[in-house]
Amino acid sequence: MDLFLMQLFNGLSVSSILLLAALGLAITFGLMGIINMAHGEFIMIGAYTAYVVQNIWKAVMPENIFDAYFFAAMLAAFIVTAAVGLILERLIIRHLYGRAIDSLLVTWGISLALQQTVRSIFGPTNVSVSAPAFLDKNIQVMGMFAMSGKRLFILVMAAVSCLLIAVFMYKTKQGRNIRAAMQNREMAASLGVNTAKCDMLTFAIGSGFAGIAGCAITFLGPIGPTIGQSYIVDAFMTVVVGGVGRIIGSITGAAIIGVGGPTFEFFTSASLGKVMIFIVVIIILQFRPKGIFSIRSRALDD
Amino acid sequence: MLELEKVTAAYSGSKVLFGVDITANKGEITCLVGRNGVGKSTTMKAIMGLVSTPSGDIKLDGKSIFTLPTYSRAKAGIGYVPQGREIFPQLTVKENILLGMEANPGVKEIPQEIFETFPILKEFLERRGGDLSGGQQQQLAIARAVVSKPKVLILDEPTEGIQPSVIQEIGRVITRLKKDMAILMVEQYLEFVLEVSDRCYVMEKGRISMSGRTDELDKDRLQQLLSM
Repeated sequence: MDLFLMQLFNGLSVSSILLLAALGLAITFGLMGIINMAHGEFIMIGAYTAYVVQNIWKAVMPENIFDAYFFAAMLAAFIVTAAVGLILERLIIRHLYGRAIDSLLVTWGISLALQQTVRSIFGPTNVSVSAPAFLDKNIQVMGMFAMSGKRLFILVMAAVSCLLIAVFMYKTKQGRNIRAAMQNREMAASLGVNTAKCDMLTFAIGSGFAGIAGCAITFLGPIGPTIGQSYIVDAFMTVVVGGVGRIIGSITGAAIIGVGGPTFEFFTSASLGKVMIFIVVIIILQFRPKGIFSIRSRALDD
Repeated sequence: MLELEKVTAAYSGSKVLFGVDITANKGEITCLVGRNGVGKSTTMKAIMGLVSTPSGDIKLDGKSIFTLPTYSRAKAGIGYVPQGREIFPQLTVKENILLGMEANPGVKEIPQEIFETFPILKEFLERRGGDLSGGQQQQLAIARAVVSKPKVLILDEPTEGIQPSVIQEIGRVITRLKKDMAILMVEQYLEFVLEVSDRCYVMEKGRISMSGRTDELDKDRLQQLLSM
């Protein structure tokens, strides 16, 4: 029982990372019609940004405030990946709107290029980021079930990110314009909304949150140039299961994939657990082909 | 004042408009009539820059807007009420109106006159646009187009699928609005056209075949041109 609760909790923290990755993907994949295979590499870039910030911090800042580096790292990870996303959108992605299959190939190429770039700079071996000391503590709940501070922090991070996105999308003018452009592009433009700017901004923000996901991953283990690959498939599944266009969809999807995986694994074995979660996804899509939560949206045709 | 000069338009290579000339003056309601599929809605889309227009020119108060992207045309002062209304269904009525203000940064708050014109909107401010009835959506679409105080208002079949009482209301509203802006309207409903319009253009197969002041037009010929 304790062990199961432990698994469940660990699953929740994986869910949180998936959620952070899926938030961006839900927009680019679901609403802009781009299959962004390079999204995993945004996660990787975020993780490496955290690594770089940590090293700089270690070298420059006094030792007693070392722990504070993590907040700087998160901010930097967001900014750096958002910037990379922005550049990619301007140079390449914007020519691919409405061409899902083409975008798959192109972004796959981008993903390989980004991996190799990082490999050239940082070397092929994994690097590790040490988490702040105050997160190393575990909270003993009962028996063998202890919540690790790191994983708890990841959960909080995901929750705060969701909240930030919700506020941005539903309370600001820019968010309103983005939602309008997603629902009916031509009409939004006819009212004076610069839709190209909206695309750029949404893509950058989506990428930025992948960066934060990357930052969170550094807690769970060492990172390497291919770390994004291990999350991209699950992130896509999250989006497909949850449905696009609503945050609640991504949350549900992430919960199913993130918690369901470890739960099945607990009762069976690692590989069988994976198979079972895929079966669940297939069954869900039989009944709700557009995901559990979906809104009507128009693909971008131009 | 909105002027179209020899505008052509094409959908993926096949031409739909063959040199259309239309002028819509401030203080007048100009109607564009014609049978289904002759290019009326395409003309509207050409004005907004939503279809490709290989040649011609479109001027707003003498300045060409022909090469501007859609959102810049809206910002230049064109309010667009499209066919089928195109309300954002997932956004609230208030958000729909606020979006209409995007085109004019000078308008900071929702002008209260709009609620005097369309009292129903004030009541439904927090409802989702998709939950409104057709007539209410049409009123919202007009409100959304005029809150930015455009120089030209273009309407594409505002009476389509709307109950008679609301049609009357829309007629009154646009007649009131014409003192502040030029109004160009595509319309199939001939009685409504004859009642509200000052000037009329008849379109056939992508060309203007007849035009003039509405009260001077040959009504029988008009009827004949529009009947199947």
